[in-house]
Amino acid sequence: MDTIVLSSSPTASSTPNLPKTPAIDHLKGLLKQIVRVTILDGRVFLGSFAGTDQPLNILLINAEEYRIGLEENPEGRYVGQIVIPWKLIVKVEGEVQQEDNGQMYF
Amino acid sequence: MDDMNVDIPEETLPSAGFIFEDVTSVFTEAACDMELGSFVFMDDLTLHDAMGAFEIGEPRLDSGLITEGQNLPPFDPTMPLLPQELCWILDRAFSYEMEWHAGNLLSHTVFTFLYVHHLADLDVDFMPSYVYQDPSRPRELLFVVLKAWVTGLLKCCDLSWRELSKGGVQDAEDWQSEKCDVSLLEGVPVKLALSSLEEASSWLLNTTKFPVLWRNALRARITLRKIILQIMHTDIFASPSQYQDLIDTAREQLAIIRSHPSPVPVASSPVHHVFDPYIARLLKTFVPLRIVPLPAPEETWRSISDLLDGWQELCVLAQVHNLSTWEIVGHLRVWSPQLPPRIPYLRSQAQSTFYDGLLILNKFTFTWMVDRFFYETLGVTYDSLASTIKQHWPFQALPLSRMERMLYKLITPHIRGQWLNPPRRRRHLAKSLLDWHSLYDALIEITTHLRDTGVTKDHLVTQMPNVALVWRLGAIREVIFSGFQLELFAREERPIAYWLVAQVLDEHLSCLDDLLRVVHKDSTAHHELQFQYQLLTALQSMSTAVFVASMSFISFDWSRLRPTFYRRYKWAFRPEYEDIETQPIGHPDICRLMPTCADVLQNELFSPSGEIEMAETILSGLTKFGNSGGWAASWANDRLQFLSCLVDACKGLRALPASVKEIEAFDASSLKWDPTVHPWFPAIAASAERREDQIY
Repeated sequence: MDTIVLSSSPTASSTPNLPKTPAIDHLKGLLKQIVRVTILDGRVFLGSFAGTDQPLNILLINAEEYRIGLEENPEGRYVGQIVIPWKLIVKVEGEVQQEDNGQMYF
Repeated sequence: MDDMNVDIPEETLPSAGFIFEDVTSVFTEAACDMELGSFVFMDDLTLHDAMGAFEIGEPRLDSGLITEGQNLPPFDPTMPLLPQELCWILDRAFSYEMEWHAGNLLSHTVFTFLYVHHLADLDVDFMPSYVYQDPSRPRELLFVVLKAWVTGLLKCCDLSWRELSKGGVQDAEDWQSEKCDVSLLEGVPVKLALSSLEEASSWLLNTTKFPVLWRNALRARITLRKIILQIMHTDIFASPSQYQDLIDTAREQLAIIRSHPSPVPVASSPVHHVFDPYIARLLKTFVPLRIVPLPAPEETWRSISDLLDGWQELCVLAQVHNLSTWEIVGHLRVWSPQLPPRIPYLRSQAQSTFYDGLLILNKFTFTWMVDRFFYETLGVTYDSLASTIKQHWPFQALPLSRMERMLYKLITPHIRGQWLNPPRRRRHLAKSLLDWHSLYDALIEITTHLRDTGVTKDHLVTQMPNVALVWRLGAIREVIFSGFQLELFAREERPIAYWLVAQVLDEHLSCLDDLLRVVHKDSTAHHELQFQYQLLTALQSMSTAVFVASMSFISFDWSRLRPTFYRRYKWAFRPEYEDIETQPIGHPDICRLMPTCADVLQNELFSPSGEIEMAETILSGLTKFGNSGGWAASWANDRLQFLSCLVDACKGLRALPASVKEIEAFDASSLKWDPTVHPWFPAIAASAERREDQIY
């Protein structure tokens, strides 16, 4: 079964006093991964998760904006580097990765 | 924010080929463990980088944000239209096109016209005929007339875009190039667009499906579009008469359109949704959304009329083979507040018409330009001057090629620079002053050697340095005067600027004195020099009078005055001048300011109002006798109009003090500068107006 593989990323920078907890490690594991963020007005953003702060302003890079339903733009439009305040966010989704059990490679 | 239903089925969500799973709780749980002020970032990303991100939900930054009331119903490009509705649509699209030409973004103007994005949907073969059963809304209006017009509009935008991107005008300053990945039919031949428009015109001519009133109104709009496209596509040099015919026909069509205004559809009409001012949120753009207010139709027709006037002027100018006339026309456009400013497209076209990167005026080489440069001031050809130099030159290697190369580099940008936007034009002139001085120095060196070989002072060849000098001093004068027009000068800087310009004019006049003595009296060059002499004398009198009247503005606090002065006139203090042997003429010297002020105050004979009176007499004399100089050509009336404007400026200054003694009692704050009234000189405000200014 596919599961989300979250691991503490060695390439993350953070404030020095940030505690080392499983939740924060999971969050760091999402860095540089493609995430899909759905917001209240029906827009969906697809981009690389680049960071967040405590109030959860989510920073995406190389992001594309999609509009579903009325006035939809199914092809999306490039919006680059964006920050999405948590108050607008309905859902954040992370990319499901194949669990690396060595069987993918021969 | 207008909350919407966000329960979006998984299959409709974008995935880019990935499989996603909800991780919202990962964020909420991590936030509980984080302290306020802490953050997690990718290693190679800094807080500074993060600050550059566009904030979603922030109206000023989020170009995709839909705020309350911005939701428009879905647009149906195949909706049947009445002819009068189509007229209204085309008129508004004309307005948006002119707003793009005025410097707005395509995404805020032309691209709000939704048919631009649905041209492919306007295909009769894909539409069932039952949709168009209402005989008053024939389908040809969409599939023939509208489709052809939109094709013509996009092709006009494409040709304009190509002209504007040639480098004569500045992207993001004069115009906006961003196309947001929307097609301007770049690959469609102009001929194809023209034939669609002709087909539409012919269908309108023959149809009986609606009244002749609307047939004519629509035909005028189709024909105007066709002619604008033809003018943009026609080589201005190939057939001036054909170009002129096109402009005349366009004017006729414009007159018909003006006499057939289209009625505004009722507020509930779906026709209003043909334009979506919020379209930018769907387009590939980073620029925040701005709703461009549309001008009244009459204003749009005036803009199109100005465009036609600009083409007319250019058509005539392209046939004028004088550098001086080109410079005069460029000056008049900048100097006259009454003349409408030319749109960036026309300013770019004027520059490419003068020099397209290969030839001057489509047929001349740089050699022609050098010849005109000397001929138009000295009245003799460059060949005759060059042969005198060759005859008397004491060394083996001739100095001409170096000097000619300098001229090649100077003149073309100088003429083209008259059509830059005003701040860029000023900067260009200021930067060119060093090169003009190098040229002057090279010519001084040549004439010094010639004099050593016995060429007398009266020979025209010895006046060659003065030709370069008059162009250079003219450029300095422009740099200073344009500072008033651009409202650059603080109050205390204004008298100093008039003092400097009066000195530059003094040098210029003495240069003209030398030239007038030797240039042939019956030549056009002599006629122009005489005109210049009178004009500059008047300008000097006016500048001196305003300098003295506003002398009380000068701050004699040296520590404040000195840095402002050196910053404002930095073009004169470039270290490169040290490497040139000849001393520059017309450069400011702040040390002479205080002695000048002292001298003026001791001069009991000096009368500011007398200077103004003298200037008015000279200028009125020129206008009265219709003296517009030697090289004004078809712009003689425009030049006389400029002189009249100067006469008006004199009238506004008649109440200046009559003597130095009266200066103390004169309230200098009554001098009001308004570039829309006169670009360079103030007027004396009435006392009530003055009091009002003091209150606010």
